[in-house]
Amino acid sequence: MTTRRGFLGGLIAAGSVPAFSWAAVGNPSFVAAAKKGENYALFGLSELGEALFEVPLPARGHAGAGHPTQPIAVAFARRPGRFALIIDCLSGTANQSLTPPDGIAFNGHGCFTPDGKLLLTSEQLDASSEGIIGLWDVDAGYKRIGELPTFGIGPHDIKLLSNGAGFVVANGGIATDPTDRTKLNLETMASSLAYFSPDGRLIEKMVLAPEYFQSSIRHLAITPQGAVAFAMQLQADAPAPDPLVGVHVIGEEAQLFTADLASELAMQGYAGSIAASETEIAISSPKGNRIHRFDYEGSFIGAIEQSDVCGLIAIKNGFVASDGNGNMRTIIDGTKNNEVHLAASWDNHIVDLRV
Amino acid sequence: MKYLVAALCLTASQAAADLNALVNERILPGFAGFEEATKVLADQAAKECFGETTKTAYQAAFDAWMRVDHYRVGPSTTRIHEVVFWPDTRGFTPKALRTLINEQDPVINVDYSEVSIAARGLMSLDYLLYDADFAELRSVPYSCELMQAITSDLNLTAKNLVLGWTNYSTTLVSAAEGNDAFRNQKEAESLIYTQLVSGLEFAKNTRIGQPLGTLDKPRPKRAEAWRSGRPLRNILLLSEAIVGDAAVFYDDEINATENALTAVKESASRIKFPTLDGIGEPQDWLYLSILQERVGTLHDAIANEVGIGMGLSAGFNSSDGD
Repeated sequence: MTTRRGFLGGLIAAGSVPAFSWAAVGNPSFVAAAKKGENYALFGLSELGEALFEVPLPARGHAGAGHPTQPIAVAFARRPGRFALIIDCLSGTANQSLTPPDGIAFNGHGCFTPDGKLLLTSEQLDASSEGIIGLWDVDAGYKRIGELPTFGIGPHDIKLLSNGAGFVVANGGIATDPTDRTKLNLETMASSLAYFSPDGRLIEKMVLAPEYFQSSIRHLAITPQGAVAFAMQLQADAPAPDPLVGVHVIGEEAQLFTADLASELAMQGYAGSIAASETEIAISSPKGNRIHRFDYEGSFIGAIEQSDVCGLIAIKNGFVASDGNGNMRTIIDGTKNNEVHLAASWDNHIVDLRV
Repeated sequence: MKYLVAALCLTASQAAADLNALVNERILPGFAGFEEATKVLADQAAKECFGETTKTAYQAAFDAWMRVDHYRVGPSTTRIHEVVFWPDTRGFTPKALRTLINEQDPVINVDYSEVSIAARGLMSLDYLLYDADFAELRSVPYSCELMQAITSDLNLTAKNLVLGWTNYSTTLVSAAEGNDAFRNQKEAESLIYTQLVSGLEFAKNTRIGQPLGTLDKPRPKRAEAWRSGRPLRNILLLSEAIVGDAAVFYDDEINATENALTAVKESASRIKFPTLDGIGEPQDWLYLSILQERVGTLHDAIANEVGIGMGLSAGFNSSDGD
């Protein structure tokens, strides 16, 4: 596999001027995908969860990415994905559809580099589920210019680290059949966090203690202190009260947080999204119809019930949580504060556009 | 197939969900029945800790529980584990019980609800009443007091569940006007419908899947409450309860669902050992694997008949799994 050290470095140094900014589309704070009737769409949202614009999608979406300056959003297909749409939020049209090279699938997540020059996409090889990060040159019309290994199997979420320190990838560890997502290696799986410098070098790989080998790290949030908060999904064949959330700082051991036994079991071994506010980390479980809140000391603050909740994102003093029933709720200091309803089913994630 | 689905959709728009009937005719009486059965159990344990009548009362309480085991929302979300702490692949329950007995922990005379959920509920009783390794410990006087503490605590949990579900049922049936938990009736109906299908999924994947393992490596000791001989009975009672609930919930015929239940019962009747202990033999393993398939078919029948029929689907995100 080609490494692109020089390339990443070179690109980040170059510069260009965006034609329009996000202000032209009402300064959305987030984007999220939804199923509306029999159709799929991507919505631009205010910080309260009000829809500001709507763009049709050809199939079910998963997560997305927002360009740091231009009003461009990328909508990723559900895993294993064969498309990523480049959406001009100003005209409300998909300008372009990215297709991964033969034998490679998108894994539902991606992000832009801080300067907006590169789009990084989480991908895996169909044959082996080995993880790669696809590199797409924005100014060259999203030309694929190379790829990096993720040093793991089945990568999922990818997030930029604070202060331009690079990016981090969640290697879920699960090898899957490229056609139907059947899991192939649950007895030998190994999940990890892989950290990369801005020029694409592996800085560190964090692996959990062996007893948690069936905990798949899938979703990430960067804390205000710059640590990586991660949410897990248990792959053991029987329900277990293992931790579903952790925090990791480069060079240190990961801290794992658990609730009391009954609450932990109520999550059904599944965290679908994670968000980190100034004071709390929250994870959502659509299977358990609940959100769990923890403080940064690792203490369980409590649960909030919400049917089919999945999307979560931090706002001041709390979170916005979206669900499959079309509700977008703000939760401030643990209580439901505001609710916006749309006759649609919000998909797994709310994607941050705020810089 | 396309026509079949279209036809089902057509029937669907005409049939309604009767959440009110489900709550009043099935769910609330179900929890009330469990409360009653746990009262009998606690009374029996108070008289003769490990005697046959206590065992009979335990079996009756477990039977009563299986009518409502699949409701894992609202007040049951966390309380469920106070009733059945299972599966317990780490062996928390025997460990916790042994520690209590060895240390003669005085907590049994104070507030047993403070004890870890691993040492509470029906699975703890499965150990205390039936486990061969506990035989010796049963003669320790403390064990008898522990038995009484667990059965009283279970009765208290049952009371709390009845109270919780009485309140929660108001929230469910008033969903149409919108409340804190539900924006509209559809949300409440979807959540309850999801309980029916996930109950069968859990039966298929865990209640059967855990002991089934593979042909080379069956794991009968992973079956639920095998010590008290309940694995097969629980699967049957649960399937019957869910189909009974579906029949009341859905205001139309559910022929395919009822046929699927008959097939479940038929294949269960071929399994010789209710403990599933025989699945070490290829033939019994095969029968259990057929039962698993048929529980799967029952799940699909409910999804097609009731789910599509009422225009409901299991959670958009909860069934996605990513």
